[in-house]
Amino acid sequence: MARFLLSRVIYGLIVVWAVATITFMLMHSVPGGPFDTEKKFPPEILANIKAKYHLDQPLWRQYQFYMSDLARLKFGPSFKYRNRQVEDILLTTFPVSMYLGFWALVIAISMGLSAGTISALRHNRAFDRMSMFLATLGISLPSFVIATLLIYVFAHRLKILPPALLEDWRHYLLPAFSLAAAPTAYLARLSRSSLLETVSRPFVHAAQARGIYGARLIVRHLLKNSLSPVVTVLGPLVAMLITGSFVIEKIYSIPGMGRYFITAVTNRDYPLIMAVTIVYAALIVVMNLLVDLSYALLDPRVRIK
Amino acid sequence: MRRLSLLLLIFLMSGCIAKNRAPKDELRYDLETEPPSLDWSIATDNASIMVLTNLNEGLTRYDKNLNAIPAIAQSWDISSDGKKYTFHLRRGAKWSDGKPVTAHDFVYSWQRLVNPATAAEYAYFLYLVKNAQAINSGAIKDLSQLGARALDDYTLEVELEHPAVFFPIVVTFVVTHPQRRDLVEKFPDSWTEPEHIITNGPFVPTYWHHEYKLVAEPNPYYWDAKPKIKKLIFYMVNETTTELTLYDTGDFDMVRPTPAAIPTYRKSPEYLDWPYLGNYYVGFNIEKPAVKDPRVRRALSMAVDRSRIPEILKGGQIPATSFIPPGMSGHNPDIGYKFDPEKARALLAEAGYPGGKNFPGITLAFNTLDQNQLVCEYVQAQWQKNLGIPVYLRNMEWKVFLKELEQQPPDVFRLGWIADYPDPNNFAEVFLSVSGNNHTRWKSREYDALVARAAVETDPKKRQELYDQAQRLLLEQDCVIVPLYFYVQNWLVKPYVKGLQFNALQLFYFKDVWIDREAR
Repeated sequence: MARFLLSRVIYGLIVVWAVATITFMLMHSVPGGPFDTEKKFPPEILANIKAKYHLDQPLWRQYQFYMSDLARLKFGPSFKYRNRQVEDILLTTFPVSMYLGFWALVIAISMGLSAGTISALRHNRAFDRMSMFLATLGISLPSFVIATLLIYVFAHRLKILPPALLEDWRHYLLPAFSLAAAPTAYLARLSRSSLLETVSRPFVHAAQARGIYGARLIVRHLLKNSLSPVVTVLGPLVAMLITGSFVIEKIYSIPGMGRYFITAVTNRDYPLIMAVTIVYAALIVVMNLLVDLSYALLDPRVRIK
Repeated sequence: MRRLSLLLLIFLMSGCIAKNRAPKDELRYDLETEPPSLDWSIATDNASIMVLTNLNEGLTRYDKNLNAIPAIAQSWDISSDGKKYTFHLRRGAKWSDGKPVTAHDFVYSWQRLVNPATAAEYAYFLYLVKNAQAINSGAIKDLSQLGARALDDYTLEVELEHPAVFFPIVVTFVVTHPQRRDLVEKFPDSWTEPEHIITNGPFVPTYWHHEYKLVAEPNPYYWDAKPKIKKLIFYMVNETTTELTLYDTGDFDMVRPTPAAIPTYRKSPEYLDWPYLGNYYVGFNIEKPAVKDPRVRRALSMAVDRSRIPEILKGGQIPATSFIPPGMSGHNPDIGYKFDPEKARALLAEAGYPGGKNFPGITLAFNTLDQNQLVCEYVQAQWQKNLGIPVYLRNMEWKVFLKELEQQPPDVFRLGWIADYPDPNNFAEVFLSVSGNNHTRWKSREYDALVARAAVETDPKKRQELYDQAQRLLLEQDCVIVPLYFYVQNWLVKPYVKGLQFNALQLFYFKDVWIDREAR
């Protein structure tokens, strides 16, 4: 077990390093730099700025600087928000995204799994048809359409929820549901098809023959044996949800981290681009490790060596 | 379950009704973006400058007609050669911690601005001051060589490289505002955060949730009349539909509607247009074979009917043939080519392309943005229709576009210029031979000389003549750019916001604003 963990951690570090290196190279090969602005500065001013941020050094030196800072978990100063360190920026925005992502996840898992389970048990009945129709909608509608629809209905027409901003808990409701829509639909479909497969397996009849029915049958026997595919997608899903969504954060004006996946690139804010990419990559690695560990819990046939 | 959901609904609605309150003594303004830096030596963008304008005061500030009037400086003397300014500071001016504002605070701030280690983008604002450029480029290491000295706590002596009649206007700008050495040195990385910042203007920040909102409250030690509002709240909502929704729900007191939204609000008494000192133009890379001949460029300039642009953009834009905008000296609407398709075709024929025959075709490049798309498509259609020449459009992401302008400008490109300060010099300088903002590859000694003479000319009439000559050269004789329109600001302001003074720089002094609770 310990050896498995150790090897996975080392493997994870290599993945993160590779992602960081590729991002570094890509980012510097895109035309336009962080200090290219509409109003041009005299050359000596540009030289001062480049010297301050080591941009006057050859690329391999910059890479060296960056990696040695990164090894000490320092992301450096932002090029756009020049008074702030990138780690400060992440520390103020990541918790907001994480909180919202956590609630979206709660909604997605609880609604997705229950809808999927009921659909599977009521296979081809009205509830199944209805929920699968909604699930198809949820997957195919882009999140900005869902967010706009929710704002229109709940803020404009019914006037029971605020359209945007982040003053109290009510402000989290619409964004959390908008963010959860696609994953809910996805989880519902996934758990439904997985359950349908399980229902026809012989051990289910055996359990029924032993007199196991109702909730106990569903939870202990059916769900437990159908969850593997769901858990597999949960890993990357968690990483995606808690790092925030550019679209949702923009529409609801939520000061989270998701915005930087886009704005850091348009601003060519190199340290911030690197930081959000690395954080996201590291989260995916960690989540996938957790997923692998949880297989052993769900299925005793999986042994971790 | 049903009862539970009903209860929940009532609960939610009660929260909502409580929210629909009467206006308080606060102003909620949408900055649209996080101010990248509140360090006023480093700030360069509109959002930061809008906030900082309300936090600090410099030697001078603008009146409503954008003349420089005394602020921290009570008065100033100018030496007979125009190269030495002596500013006499106000004795009652104080920082938000109660300490007096002194001439040393200005000297420190100015030295910090031009210090190469600060790497301030707007350091060149003070290049007028003696030795500033030499210090900034590293030629002089000793910061005290800068031509700004504190003769005593309340007297600041400034020596200029050459006379400049607009110097009092330059020192309204935030990068020239004084700074506290003790504060900056004590908290080098965090002195702009609300827990540390000390300001000398009407407001001082008290809360800042980055990327969300910034709250400023009146500075108790401000020397002039105290602000009438108790809170100034800057939000950073960047999505235009969200911004308008929040204006409609009464969460925001003033916002800028986008062109797409203007028709919806145009008739509302809360909507208003105001001139803005900016010019939108297309420029030629005069080294490109297709537009090398000035006759071709003149033909292109004459072949665009600018009068239809306001219809297309819907924001009350003012069609332009000249470069220096209305609302400041130097403007002359008679300069530049009016729409004349006949003459344009004749010129094109003269240049060897009768009816557009054999013309190689040109590419008009712009950065990706709805407005640019609309304008450039219109210009393309005009040129095709009136001259019969092929015109191709090419759009690029902003930074890629900037890189291309710097390295290999396309035949024709769209750009704009927005005033840093309301003096024609700020516009005329754009097309100097040495200017980094001149992407046309046009270098005219004659133009350079005219602009240099105008910068030191104190007689307004003679100065106007010099700028007229310079503009004729730029827009008629050599026809390097085709001005299309002057910018206009579009605003939505709630009727209970009173005392708001608009100006052509889109800068607001919120200290004079008050909230009329009776108006609804």
